[in-house]
Amino acid sequence: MISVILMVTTYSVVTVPQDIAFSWNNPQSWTGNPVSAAPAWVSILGARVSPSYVNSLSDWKNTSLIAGATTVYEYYSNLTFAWSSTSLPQDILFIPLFKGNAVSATITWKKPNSAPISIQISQLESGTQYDANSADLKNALSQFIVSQNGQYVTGLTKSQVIAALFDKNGKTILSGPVSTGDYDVKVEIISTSALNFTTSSTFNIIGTSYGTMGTDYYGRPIDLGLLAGLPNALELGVITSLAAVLGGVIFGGLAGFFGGRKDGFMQWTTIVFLALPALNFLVVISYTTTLSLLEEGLLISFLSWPFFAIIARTVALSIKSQTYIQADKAMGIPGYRTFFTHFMPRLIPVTIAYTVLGIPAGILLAETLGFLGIQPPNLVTWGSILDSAFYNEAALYGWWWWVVFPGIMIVISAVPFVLMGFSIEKIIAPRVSNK
Amino acid sequence: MMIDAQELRVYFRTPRGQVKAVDGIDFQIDRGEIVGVAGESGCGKTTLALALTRLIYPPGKIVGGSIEFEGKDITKLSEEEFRKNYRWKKIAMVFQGSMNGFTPVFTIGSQIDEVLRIHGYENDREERIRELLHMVELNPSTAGRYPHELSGGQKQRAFIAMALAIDPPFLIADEPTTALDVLTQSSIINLLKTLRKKKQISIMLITHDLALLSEIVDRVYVLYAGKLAEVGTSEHVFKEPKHPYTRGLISSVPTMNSTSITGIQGFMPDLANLPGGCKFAPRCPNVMTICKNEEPKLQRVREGQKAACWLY
Repeated sequence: MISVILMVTTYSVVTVPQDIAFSWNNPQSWTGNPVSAAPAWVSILGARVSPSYVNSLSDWKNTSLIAGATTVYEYYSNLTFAWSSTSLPQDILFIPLFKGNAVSATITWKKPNSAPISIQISQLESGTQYDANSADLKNALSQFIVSQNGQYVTGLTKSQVIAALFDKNGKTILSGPVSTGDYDVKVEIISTSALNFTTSSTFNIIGTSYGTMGTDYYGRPIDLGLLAGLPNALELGVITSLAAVLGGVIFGGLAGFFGGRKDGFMQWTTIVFLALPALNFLVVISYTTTLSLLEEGLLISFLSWPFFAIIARTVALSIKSQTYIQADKAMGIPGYRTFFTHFMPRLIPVTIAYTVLGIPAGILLAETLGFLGIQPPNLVTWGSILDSAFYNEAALYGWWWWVVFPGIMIVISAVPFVLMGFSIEKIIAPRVSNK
Repeated sequence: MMIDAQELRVYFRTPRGQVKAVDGIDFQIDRGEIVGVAGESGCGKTTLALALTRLIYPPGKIVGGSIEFEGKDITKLSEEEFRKNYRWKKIAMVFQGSMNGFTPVFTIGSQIDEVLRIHGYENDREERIRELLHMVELNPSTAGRYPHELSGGQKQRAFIAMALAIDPPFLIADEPTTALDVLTQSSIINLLKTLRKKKQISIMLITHDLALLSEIVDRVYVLYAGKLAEVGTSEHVFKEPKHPYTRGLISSVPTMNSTSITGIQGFMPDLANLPGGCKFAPRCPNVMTICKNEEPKLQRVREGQKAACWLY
């Protein structure tokens, strides 16, 4: 399990772009994606969702309307997709990208076994987003609706446009069953000068399901967010755990080793730190200063080392009471030698076990802080994903994938460490666990 | 005089009050002398020994008195100085249950070797280890073994070998034979006797086994509740004990012929809450009125014997 996590982490570090945090919080980056879409695979389970298609138009053919004419250019590109879902998509999105001046475009939308609908777009501009809300589509489709059911709908809504595009022709064009089968879409662009299509244009069908884990309210794919959150969750867990356990074990081990008044003072210090309410403390600190990932990790470990100090002190005290420690002292063996030959070997396995056990604790605390909105800037964390799910009332709207998957990820990343820690603990302290 | 401790007091601070484990004890030992310390469990024998080696840990503390080692007060030395010049070099100790005195994870040889190295032994250390093991009648191959591979008696002897590593002039043996069978006991006692004869080392032998003490020691200190009850030469104390406590102790030793054992009634008083007057008064068969009110001082009863009792 650990190796799987490490592999996914490596994959994440390699594939997720560095500036993910910036684009993550920028709604502009996610316009092409469906909003609040369920995971694609829920359709297998019988849920009524429509798939999303991300299509690019790159193959533009040049024909001339009038043979030999040098001032009129026509380019066209074809798109075919199969629609088997019985529910409507959310939207369609057409973004033409080209260099040069276009005049207009015609989208010929042909449903399965029906006559094509012609949609005129005047004043076509590169980079403009044409979706179901754009005026050109509404004009063309309100006429089409009239031709089908004889009613003129004023103020056509987005969903009515989509219904007109996907429902079977006839009187029930706005309510009827979805027309399933192969759709043919042809985009023609007319220009007075030559156009250069170096970048692919977009023609997306935005359904109500997307990817393996769906999208959130802003169209951000949850799986990408989880992938981006994994490395920093692990990093924080490891930093926190290592610093806290090392610090705690050394402090507690020395306290137990010294004994007497020094031990009393060190014990007192430990208790004072233990009594600090970690979460409140972190909240206050984070509101007054901006912390980096490393600083946050060290701060968390600064507040969690007392647990390990107490454990290490107990171990050290039990070693100290052994006759051979007393014998070492009587033999005139210097204290530091006794510490290294007798205390360290017993403390190191404890350190390893609790470091491993501390990683999930660190992850949990970090995600808790992320949920409270306290986290280093420019990071995507699972906590912050859950935070925005909470803020947008995902539970109320039934967007379960927004909550469940980050939760599962937190558990999945914590469990292997916990299991590993327990088994190490079992090896180093068999008497305790075998009871 | 090798060791001369005067008015030694070791108190332990506990939540119940001060426990006077050693309360004003004078202790002397000469070169080449074997001195026994006897008394029942909890009377302060081990604490006295630990005080002589400065191994009293908090909450315990040496609160008064002096310990002179060859004329130098070792209670006034810094810990580092004491560690370098006295520990194991001059004062070695065989612990109570010192079979556990070996670290389980290192071989016997390497542990003896460490002691030699720490104290800057200059000659061939391996040769020395062989010599030491031979001295305590152990096979030289023992050096390569781990403590758990040895029997209790072997470990005890190996520890004595370690104690003798740098020829200390003063050896404290705290119940060296307690957990051992009679045959091993006698071999260890013979070993101590030989050591004294060969190397002229002083041995402080702590035990509650009076039969064993009478066998080997020159002088004996009888402790009761942190105080000296009786001090004297072996002959005097064992043949003609003066203090009722010593008498009781001796009469509790089983012999081959006797059918029953006479012990001492009652238990030792709580050291944190001692009665006034003579500490032994509540259990004493010869108790008088004065015993309950005033504490007797250790005084000469006859040549070579002192007792703290109102009877004399």
